Amino acid sequence: MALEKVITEDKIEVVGDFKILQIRTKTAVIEDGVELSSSFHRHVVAPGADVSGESAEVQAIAAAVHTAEVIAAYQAHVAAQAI
Amino acid sequence: MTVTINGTTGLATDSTSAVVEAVSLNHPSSSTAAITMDASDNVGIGTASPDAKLKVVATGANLLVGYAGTQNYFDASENIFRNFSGTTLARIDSDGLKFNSDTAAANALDDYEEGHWSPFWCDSNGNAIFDASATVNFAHYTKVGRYVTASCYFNMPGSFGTTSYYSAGGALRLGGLPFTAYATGSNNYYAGSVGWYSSWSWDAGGVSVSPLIYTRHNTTVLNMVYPTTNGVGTILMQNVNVGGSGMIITATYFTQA
Repeated sequence: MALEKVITEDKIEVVGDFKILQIRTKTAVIEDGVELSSSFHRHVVAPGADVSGESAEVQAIAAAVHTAEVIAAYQAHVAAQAI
Repeated sequence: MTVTINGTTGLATDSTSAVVEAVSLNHPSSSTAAITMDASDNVGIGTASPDAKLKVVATGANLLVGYAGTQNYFDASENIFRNFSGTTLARIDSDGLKFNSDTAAANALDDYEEGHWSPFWCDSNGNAIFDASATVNFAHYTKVGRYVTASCYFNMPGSFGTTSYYSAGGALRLGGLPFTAYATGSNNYYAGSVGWYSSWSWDAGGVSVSPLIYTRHNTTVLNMVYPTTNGVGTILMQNVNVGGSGMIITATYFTQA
């Protein structure tokens, strides 16, 4: 009987006009290949955000979709959000 | 009741052990197998070649389940659950689950998810302004369709430093939301509620009122403001640059999918 905890980013979504990344991290407890339980943790990455702490895959996606134009457009959107 | 076992086509036996390995039953007036059990223990109703443990092939009321006079059935032709009088109870299609006779894609329930998130003080872009993680006592989200409810209770540790994104007079945000707030068009905002906050420094603003929170579509953070006599004021990063600063909140908003 071998128990192991497996953590994976099982869903990475690119959403909205500013291509914000939504990352779902799954933590699964597996016994002899059979998943006993799992839970999700989520976070988002906005254009221009510091991605140094993200996985290589998320960093690569951010580099591809968070262009200078997207970052500038997002920051303008954020700056205008005060009511 | 009459049951006909139709020799080599209806009853097949293993050549050495004579164990029945496949059976097909049909009504005497029909040559089509009504019920079939094959060598893989698959049972077919209305099919002679079931490829699952139970496969039902028919038109109309495909699968009827009854109990004490109440009967519902599943109409596989349209993925509809009906009651016995034909009234649609629910439908599952590419949009999701739709109730009663509703066919509108916007009303389909297409997702349910629960999980956790990690709140932290940040700037407008979602960058952490302190160099230590908060102690998250509780941070949970539930997503039903597009509707997200995120709650949390967290405190900063007793001492910590600032990051390059900290600016004492900068607008404070709460980051780490599990989903992006989303809506089409402009002026779409979502609000939340603050149940408790502690160890804040209000010296700069000179106020001691409960914070308010809201978020705008296509952003990933909660804006932090406080009520004034004729509007709101912006809560600053320095207001929470205090050991133990924390809060309890619940925010609700729509996300894209």
